[in-house]
Amino acid sequence: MDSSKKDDVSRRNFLSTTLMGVGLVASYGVTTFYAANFIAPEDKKKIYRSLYVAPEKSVPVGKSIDFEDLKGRKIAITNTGDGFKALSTSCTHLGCQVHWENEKNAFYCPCHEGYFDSDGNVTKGPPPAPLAKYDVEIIDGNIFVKVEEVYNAIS
Amino acid sequence: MQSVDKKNWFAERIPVDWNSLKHFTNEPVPNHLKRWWFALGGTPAYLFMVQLITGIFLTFYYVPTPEQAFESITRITYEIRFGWFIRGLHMWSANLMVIAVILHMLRVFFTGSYRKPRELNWIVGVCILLVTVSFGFTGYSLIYEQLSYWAATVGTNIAQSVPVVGPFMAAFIRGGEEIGPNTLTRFFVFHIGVLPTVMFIFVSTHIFLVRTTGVTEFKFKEQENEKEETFPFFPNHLLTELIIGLLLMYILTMLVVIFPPEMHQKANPLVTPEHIKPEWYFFASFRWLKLNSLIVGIIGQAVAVILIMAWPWIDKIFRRKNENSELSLWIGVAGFLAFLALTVWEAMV
Repeated sequence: MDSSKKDDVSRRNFLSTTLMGVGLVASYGVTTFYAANFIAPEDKKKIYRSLYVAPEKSVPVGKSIDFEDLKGRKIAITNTGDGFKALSTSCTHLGCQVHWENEKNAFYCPCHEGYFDSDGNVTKGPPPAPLAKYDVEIIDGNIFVKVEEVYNAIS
Repeated sequence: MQSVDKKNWFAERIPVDWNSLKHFTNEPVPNHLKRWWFALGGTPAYLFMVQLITGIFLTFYYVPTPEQAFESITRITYEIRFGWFIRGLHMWSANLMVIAVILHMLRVFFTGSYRKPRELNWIVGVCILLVTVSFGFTGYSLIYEQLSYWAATVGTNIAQSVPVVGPFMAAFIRGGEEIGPNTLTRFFVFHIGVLPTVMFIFVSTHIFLVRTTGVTEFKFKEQENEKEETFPFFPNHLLTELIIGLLLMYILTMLVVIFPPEMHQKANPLVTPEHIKPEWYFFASFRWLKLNSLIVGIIGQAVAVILIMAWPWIDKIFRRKNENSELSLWIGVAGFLAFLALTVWEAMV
């Protein structure tokens, strides 16, 4: 008699403790998940589109022009004679802006002294990869580059 | 009679054993602390208070958006009455705090005070150093001048290059894949909300552990004849700290008056200036990144921090064979000289 009573109590105890435990974990868990999503930046699928740059004729052989993608990142577009190439000017080391230096015949990054040749390949310094390339299309004598679409100003 | 009543009134409403609290806070201080270089731990705490107060003042006028950040600080610096002084105090106490934390760390290291039973407090101390430089990093990014923008770019890209967790960490700090309007807000929140909270927790733990494990005791030759081993915290040591506080306020005011804060070029995401450098306390890290490949540059620094944190146990290994081994001291000297050499090298070019 006594022992069964004891069992009853402990069973009730067990149930209520378990339910409490599950409730606590679930409620705090969900809140944590929501909170983490709130401060984590949105992960959007990348979409690309072609952007008009300039008429082909306006960039003579050997010359290059600066252009900006939709996120405001700089692109150097050069007429090599065989066609056009578009290089990102963001250094692949830690993201500073490279610029072309005639006397060094290279793209130079002033942050950590990285050098890239005119094709964007690393020639000296710490950058781990060549400068990023954008796809260039010539449509009806006009230059287009493929850039990432921007949804809104915040992203 | 009335005063006794009053005493009881408070005693009933704040039921704390005041005598034991007095005992706990009024620590007997060992005689070696009469030397000023043993009071260096209080210096960063004092400078932190200066920054807390001036920081609250600055938030009255600062606007954390890319459009207005630079302009609002320009207003603080050149238009608002004594803005230059408040901002100057904030800036100079930040710089002095980094120096004070480093000096305090050197003192603790070279007197072997990190050894048993103070290993945990050494780790807390290293964390305080990391929080201090994080304050510096987020703080100067808020100004939104060229240095701010490119330091934030480089800093968050360093985070991004950390294996496995890097990309998530960087996106979290920046509030997106790239530096954008979210970034400045986040840096502001870290600088005035998250980091002060973390700092408060670390400093409280630090002081609690100092009080519970006690400070290491040193005997100097000329003190051998002194009868008392300790002197009271209140008022003697508090007076020493007050004198240091006075001296610091004097130095700070002089620095602000002679070298007031200025505004440089506004941030331009399209142009990295030809001569770009972070604040002086990141010079060594900056030079190290120039000298090594990206992965060595970043992992090397992480390893250095982990080694410093683990030093109490590394030192124990050195001293297992020879109790009087001075290996730790020499490695410490070499390490600090390397840090100084990289810093000076970056400063020279």
